[in-house]
Amino acid sequence: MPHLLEVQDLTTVFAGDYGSSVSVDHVSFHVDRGEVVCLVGESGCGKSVTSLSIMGLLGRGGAVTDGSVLFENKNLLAMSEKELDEIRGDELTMIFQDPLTSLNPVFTVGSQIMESIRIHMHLSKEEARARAVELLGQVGMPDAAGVMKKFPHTLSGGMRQRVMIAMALSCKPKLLIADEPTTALDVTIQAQIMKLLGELRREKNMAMILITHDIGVVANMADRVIVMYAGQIVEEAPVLALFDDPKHPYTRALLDTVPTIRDDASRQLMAIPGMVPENYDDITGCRFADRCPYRQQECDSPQELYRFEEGHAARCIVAFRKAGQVGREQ
Amino acid sequence: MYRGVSESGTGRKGTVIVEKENIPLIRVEDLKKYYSVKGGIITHTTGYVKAVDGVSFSVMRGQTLGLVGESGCGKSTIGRQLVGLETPTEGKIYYDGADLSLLQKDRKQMREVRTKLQMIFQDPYSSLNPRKHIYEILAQPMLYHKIARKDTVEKEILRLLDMVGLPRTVLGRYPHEFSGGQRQRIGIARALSLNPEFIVCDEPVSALDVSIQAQILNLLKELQKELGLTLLFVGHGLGAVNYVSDQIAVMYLGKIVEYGDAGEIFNHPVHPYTQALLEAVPIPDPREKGRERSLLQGEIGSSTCPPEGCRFHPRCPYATKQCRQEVPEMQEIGQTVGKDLVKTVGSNVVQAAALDSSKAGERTRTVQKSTHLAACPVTGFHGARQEA
Repeated sequence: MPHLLEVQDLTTVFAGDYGSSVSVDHVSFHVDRGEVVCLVGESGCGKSVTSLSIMGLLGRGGAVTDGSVLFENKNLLAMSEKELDEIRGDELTMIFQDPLTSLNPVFTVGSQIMESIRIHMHLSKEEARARAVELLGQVGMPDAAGVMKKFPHTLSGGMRQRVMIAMALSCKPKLLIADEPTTALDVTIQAQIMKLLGELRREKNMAMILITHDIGVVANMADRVIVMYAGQIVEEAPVLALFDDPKHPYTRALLDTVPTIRDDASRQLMAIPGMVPENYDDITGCRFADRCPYRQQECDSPQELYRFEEGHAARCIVAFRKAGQVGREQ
Repeated sequence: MYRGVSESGTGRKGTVIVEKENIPLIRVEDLKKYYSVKGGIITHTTGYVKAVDGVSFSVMRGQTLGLVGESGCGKSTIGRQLVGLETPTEGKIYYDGADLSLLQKDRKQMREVRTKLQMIFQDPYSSLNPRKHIYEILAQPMLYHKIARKDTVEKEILRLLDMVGLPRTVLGRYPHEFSGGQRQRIGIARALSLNPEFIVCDEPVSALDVSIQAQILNLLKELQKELGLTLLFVGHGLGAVNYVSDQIAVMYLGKIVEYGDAGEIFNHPVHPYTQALLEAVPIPDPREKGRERSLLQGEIGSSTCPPEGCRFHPRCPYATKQCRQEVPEMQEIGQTVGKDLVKTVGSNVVQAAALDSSKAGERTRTVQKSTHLAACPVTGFHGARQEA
């Protein structure tokens, strides 16, 4: 069976005042039906740009220069805006980090939810209203009918994000892209929203690309994890394999730098020295090499994604060679 | 090390938290901050936002107190009052035993005290003047407060840059030329430039990337050890707060609901809000994925008209009739709580904790070395029982 979403060699370039810079560099991955794939990485690693490229929402300055995005075997990149609009908001939807800036301040919550329902499902106003109220109920909104008449600014952050989720779910999507949906929310509200997304995904067998930098959220939600660094995928693995046996030094460091509530007083956090390179197009070798404690000579040559086991790949020659020495080379 | 409230008994309302043989560096007593809400046709005060409503605590020299809670609970307001950016509506702040509100009347003295109380802000970009380069940003406060003279100031600045791990070449650069982590280092250098004793860190890492967060947290810990600093660490990232703090105070709607050693709070939370807060934090272990978590319903209430009685009761799974009517006092967790409970809430408690009175003996917990207080009679008992 073909994958629900297949991204191949996606490359996105942003034009700036001083020439263009590659923000996403030959990224390939897939998402199956009903699967949650987490995209992890620090700001500027290209995870959000990847999702915007998939949705065709890059805006001015950004352009996809290479690759293809197959959604149910149709190439989204080759579609016209009109064809895209048929799919976007219907089978393929997205929710953003800050729900206040993604909601229109001058329309009521109800009219914004009803808009996409009416466009995609061709329902009458009354039917759309009933569906919108039902959706708000599904996302756990108390007093759904009353909220329909409210404006976004009168709602709390958690409520706004519920509205966004209701909008995203309005037309039974097959794939939901959630770009840091809980980063702006308090921890108790974050837990509510994550639980809701998990339930909805199970009920509707909806696939999800969850973009986050919270390792805890990854552990709780993901089936598979893709780690990005400086515009490239550096590791891809099923969630258990990634946490148990991270191959790439960056992934390992990322898991080690997170303080948790279970730490005792003696824990010393491992910090990654240095910072993410800004102009990473110029780096020919491994982009993490400058911060890496295991750096070797061959790290200066271009790195490919090495396959370790089924579904587990990492862009690190040193780790690959080490794995080969213990007899796992295939 | 500490003696409990019952022994020292200094609290106005029995809520003073820690007493030690010597004076705490910072002591806060019944601190309140109300902001008036204007409204009506002819503008007048229609109500108050009770951002901080009767908070007492103290921080010992060289220790870190972590202040946690959801946004809007008043934790940042407390930090701002401690460094004098806001004046308390009511209540007292003592710095090294001296009342800050009295010091404020003497400008010369206040100027001196101000250098001792510094702050590190959440967003290092908006707290650095974009028109000034790093040399100016660091030099001006030191010259004004006569910490350094014109001829020695550069040496001081270089010493600070070394301390926070910035290269010496950055002096002529402007804030926008730095990354978030570097800017936060500048913010820390500025706070350190006046040789402070007490620093309020207001969510210093929440705007930073994960790998940079660890760098800054480690830096703060090192500097604290090296310079003997006392810190108030305000944050909602509970992992980070756990990492740096010796004691933790949990706030909900302007009140402290639980206080104790970091290990105690994180391993044996007693107040239902603390329990819920910790339960909501996702654990970075995929094996716990399927674990059923009891999540809080609803959202934090309004601080304009906070709920009567215990402010947490509308969201509390253990709420009793008493919780809806009486404001709970902070009580020491341990032996006394079990007994008090039977007296005060009686049958309700037994219901909430699914216990019968014959097990009363099991509820008690050995008295701890340090103070652990919670403002909840119901689970104060519940938690104590779990421990037994």
